[in-house]
Amino acid sequence: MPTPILVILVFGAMAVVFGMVGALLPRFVGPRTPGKEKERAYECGVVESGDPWSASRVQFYFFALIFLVFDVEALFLFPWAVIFKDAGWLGFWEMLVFLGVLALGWGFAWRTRSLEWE
Amino acid sequence: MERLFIELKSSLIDLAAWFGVPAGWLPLLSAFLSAATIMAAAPVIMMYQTWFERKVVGRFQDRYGPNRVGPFGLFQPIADGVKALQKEDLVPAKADKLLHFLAPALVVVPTFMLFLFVPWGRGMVAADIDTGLLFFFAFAGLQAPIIVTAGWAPRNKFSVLGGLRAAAQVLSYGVPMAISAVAVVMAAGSLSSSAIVEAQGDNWFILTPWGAFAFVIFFVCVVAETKRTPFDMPEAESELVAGFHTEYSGLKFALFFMAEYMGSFAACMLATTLFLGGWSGPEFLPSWAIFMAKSGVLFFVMVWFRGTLPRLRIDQMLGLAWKFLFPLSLVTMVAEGLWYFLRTDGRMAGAILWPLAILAVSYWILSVVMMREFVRGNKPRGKQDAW
Amino acid sequence: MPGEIAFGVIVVLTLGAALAAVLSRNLLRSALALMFCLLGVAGLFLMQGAEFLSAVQLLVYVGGIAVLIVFAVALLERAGEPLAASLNKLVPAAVAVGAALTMLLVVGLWRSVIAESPPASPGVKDIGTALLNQYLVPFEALSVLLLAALVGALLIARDTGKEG
Repeated sequence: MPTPILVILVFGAMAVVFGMVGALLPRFVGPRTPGKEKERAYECGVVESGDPWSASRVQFYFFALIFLVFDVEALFLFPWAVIFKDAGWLGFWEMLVFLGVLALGWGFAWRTRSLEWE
Repeated sequence: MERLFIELKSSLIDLAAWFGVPAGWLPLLSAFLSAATIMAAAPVIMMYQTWFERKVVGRFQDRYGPNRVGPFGLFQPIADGVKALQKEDLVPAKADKLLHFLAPALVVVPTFMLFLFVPWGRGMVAADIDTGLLFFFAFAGLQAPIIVTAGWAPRNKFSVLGGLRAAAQVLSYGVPMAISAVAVVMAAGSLSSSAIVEAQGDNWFILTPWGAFAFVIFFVCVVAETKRTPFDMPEAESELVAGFHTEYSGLKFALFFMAEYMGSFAACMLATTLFLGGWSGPEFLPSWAIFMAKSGVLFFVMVWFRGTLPRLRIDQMLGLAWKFLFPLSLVTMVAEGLWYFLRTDGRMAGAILWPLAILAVSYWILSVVMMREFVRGNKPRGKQDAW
Repeated sequence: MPGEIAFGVIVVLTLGAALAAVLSRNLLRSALALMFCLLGVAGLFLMQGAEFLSAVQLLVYVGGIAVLIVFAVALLERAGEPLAASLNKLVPAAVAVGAALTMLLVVGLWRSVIAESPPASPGVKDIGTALLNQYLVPFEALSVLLLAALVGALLIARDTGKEG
């Protein structure tokens, strides 16, 4: 197996171990004095209300959706970019068509206020 | 001096072979050595990033910064580490215990991986594969689901919100970041970081019209990806306590902290690779020293931003990503294309003029639109929910 | 030898995560397990030398789709409630179907000719060239597909958002 791939896998495993050890360490090293006040959700001292694991704004989801589409688009830009120099003007225009269609989508998202936060 | 690390590693491998390690295991040993070096170096770099940041921000604020622990406060990071270690691990009663443990454990993993794909020096890319740049972006985006989980696990409203906001931020700035890097790939013809550095030689990409714009876009995106000021809304103390890492204490918090700093340094390293010529520089200095110095300068700029700029509001931040940086990065790509074609035709004046023209015009149009949006966003709104 | 160990580890990770995703009673844990399963698949691609595909898997599946799922879970109304148990009375039927499928795959593999070494995976340059030449029409059609997906998803999501 070529070395770079081996490096990625080995380092990945080591990083996971690092993280696990780091997250486990406090359990053994730190003090343990459980107390009811300490274990309540922190809301600046106010008594918490409502179950936090309940519905939230759906606007967040739009961003993930839009991100996904443009992520895939950006992905296709990379192989094209690598051979861009050999592809000449024709390749350039072909990519511009690709981007143009997606720009329409972006414009649609903007117009329908999907890119807004509030 | 230049090949110090490379020679060291090959001597260690030869030593192992001489000791009778079977040949099949030698690549593994080599991989392990590279990995172990980075695993040792990255946290140390991170520690001294924190020292540097506190000193410099202190100076910006007309004070000294840490200077009690060791000369010039150089042992401060160690003291911080010890402090984090001896704190109690508080897990909220209603939290999901497994996820509360897993989230900080996992958040450092993608950040560590980023260091594998940058050229620390000439011939010193830990994982020198043809698609190195793509892997860098892939691992950078990997933090998003982990951040949401980290925010969700403690079962705290503010935490969940902070996590969602942070993830939305990371996702939104990932796209213009990748696209501005595409312009560099166009110029270099490869996704491998060592090839990109070599393609630049002495003509760093930042010194071209498209490169200057692409660099600024890329750097801004990188500052936002790593959630540093002025994009540190997810950690805004005045708004969300500490955002998605509210309910994590001691070492778990330190892990989030570590991920942020290591991520920002890795990003500075990548920006150096893509736009500032990586390890190229005066011949008498070792390539890895030059690379570290350049990355350090970029990190200083990040600290400078922190000491100077006010924070952006969440809607301003997301608007900036999608309505300004994203289209501008696409224009940067087109500008690079024009630059290349006009230069190969020999029309140097045109090659400088046309990219600059389209970039300047787009920048101007987009700025005007953005200004109007910001003004509109600042008007007092009627009945609205706070989130 | 290291190759076999790495392969074993990745397979255990992928299958274990898949099992966890199906058997878990907590929605977010399921989603996270799915993410690990996809990560494992990326690792498998990497081991076969398909670097570009591995990066794509990480970028799109883990960084995009897993994120989408986790976002959806974090925004849900009743994410905290335990899900219905997966190990219910349908288990025997599921096992039977799974076993039949596995048999089919094993027989298929047994009878086919497996090359000594995998064919050289196309590099990024080859993919790029192919995109602009043989696969130009699918490439441009892809942009239309993405546009349709974006518009459709936004329209559906906003309608549901208005009601819900």
